[in-house]
Amino acid sequence: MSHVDKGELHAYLDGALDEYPQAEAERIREHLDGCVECAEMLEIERAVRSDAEAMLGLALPEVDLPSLEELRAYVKRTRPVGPTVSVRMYRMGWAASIALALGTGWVLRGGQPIEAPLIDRGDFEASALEESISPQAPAALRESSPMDRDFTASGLSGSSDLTAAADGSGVAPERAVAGGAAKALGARGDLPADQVAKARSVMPDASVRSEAAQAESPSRGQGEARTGTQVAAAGADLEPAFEVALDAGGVTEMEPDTDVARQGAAEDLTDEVRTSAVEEAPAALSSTNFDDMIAATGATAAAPPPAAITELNEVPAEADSGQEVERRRSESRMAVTSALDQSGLASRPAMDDDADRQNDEPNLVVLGYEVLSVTNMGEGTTSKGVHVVQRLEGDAVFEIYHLELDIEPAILPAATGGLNEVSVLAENGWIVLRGPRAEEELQGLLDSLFPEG
Amino acid sequence: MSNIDWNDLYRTTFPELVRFLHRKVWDEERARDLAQEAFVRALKHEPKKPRAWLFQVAANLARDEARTVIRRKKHLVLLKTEVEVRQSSQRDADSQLDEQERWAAVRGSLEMLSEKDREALLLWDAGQSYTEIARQLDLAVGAVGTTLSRARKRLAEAYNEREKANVARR
Repeated sequence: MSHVDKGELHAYLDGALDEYPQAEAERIREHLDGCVECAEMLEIERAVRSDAEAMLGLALPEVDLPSLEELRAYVKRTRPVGPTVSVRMYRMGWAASIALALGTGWVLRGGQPIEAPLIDRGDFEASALEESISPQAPAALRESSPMDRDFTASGLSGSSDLTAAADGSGVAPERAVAGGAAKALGARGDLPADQVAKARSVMPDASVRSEAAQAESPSRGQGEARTGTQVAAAGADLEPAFEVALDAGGVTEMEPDTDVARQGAAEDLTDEVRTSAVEEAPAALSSTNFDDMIAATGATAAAPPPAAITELNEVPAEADSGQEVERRRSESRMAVTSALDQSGLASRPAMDDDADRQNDEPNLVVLGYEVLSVTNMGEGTTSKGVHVVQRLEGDAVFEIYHLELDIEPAILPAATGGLNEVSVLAENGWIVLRGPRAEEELQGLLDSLFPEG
Repeated sequence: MSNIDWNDLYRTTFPELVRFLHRKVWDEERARDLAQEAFVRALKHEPKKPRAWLFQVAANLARDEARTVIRRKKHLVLLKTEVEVRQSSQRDADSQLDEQERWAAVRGSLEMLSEKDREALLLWDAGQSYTEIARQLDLAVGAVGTTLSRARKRLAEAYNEREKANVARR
């Protein structure tokens, strides 16, 4: 019979054998009863343990127990009132929109991962933009402003016609905002034109179906918009797609009827995805903070310089100045305001809590770095957070985990292979950032997630 | 509705949290602040496994504290008690000096451990079970004993080496 090792001896001394498998615990106890050599070793380890405890005991703090009632009163005073949906979840909503787009393509391609498009100012030709708008789109969309078109095209590839289909109901501009936000993820170009065409060829009448789907649930686009949005991701980080769902409205439980993962036929699947996408927009808008949302599109002069997130293709590189950015932000704001006027959402009062939170809420991604994938993490229908992979430089990437409340960083796989890690507990949960750089550099990236710096 | 017995949890865990945090930030008042912050968050979030959650939050708060990147200092409410103030004022300079020396010795010795060994040791010393330590450090339960045995041995060695060096200097 093998001797008991030091770890087992310490477990014995610590009274932790009950936490071992029963058979293992019994083996250790029986062996210690009959083995003189191990009994001697036990006494040596007992002394080591005792010494260590004594040393730690030299630095004991005096602990006064503050009143729990006072802590409770403080928590009560500071507990947010009203909706618990956070700005961050809105941002997850638009993250979902791009992931949805890529996920849709993934399904249509028969499950082959889609390479995350590299973002470059020149890779998004106007012709591809035009191509991505469905011929069934209402004329209003085709004649919309360049800004609108950009938002539309950048939002979803195969489902840009979805946006168009919804145009008449006032949903399209909202959808366009979500699409615009997707640019902040670096996926502005979405899929190459051939992939777009391929996607469309599979579902030529998708816009019609989408309209029908929306008509079946006319009220769900407003307010609560409890949306089960299927999330998948691009590139190598593609999860076994449809295992998890992100509720764009901040609700982690998903309604069974929108559980795309459980839909069988691809036809139904695409319908469902499209319906979800249409419904998602109002939830994303409900923060009613347009500056915030527009800022989330990456159209900020303060964004770091790397090429990953570039601006709209119509704008020459040299025009990427603060003034130009401001002009486009203004245009975007007007477009959104106009859309809200039409939809009646503009009169929705801002949530007090959001006003408080917006300055504290982190961005989902580090602006200025190409986003390779955005994946929702979860089990079943419960979201555990969002996993973002961004390109640092060359082949080097960094990862950001935005964990939900109560989800501990310990659930994450260990950082290996020369990765360092930094983390911060923000209002809505842990944010963990990993990458092959010194912690100080990673800390800078983590800090830059927070708009306030 | 939460089934957590907060009174019991608070009474039993708060001192352990302070003890755990103190060995990380080496400042009694700060350790209490952070323990309070952890509890404030727990009261808000009502986690399913509050004890493990508290230690996880505390560990990360301490880590962030070291990097001075805590962003929620507005939550840090120091609920000073009269007892605390009185105790603080009663400490004479000599005893504070002794205390600082002891802390420096323990702190220096702990710093000789690897991060994981140190964390395991401090968690154990703060009253965490093997299962809780294993969960927090992503270890198998069976590996906790090995980690602790190594940590204890290294701590004792480091402390004794430090003492020998001090004696030699005098």
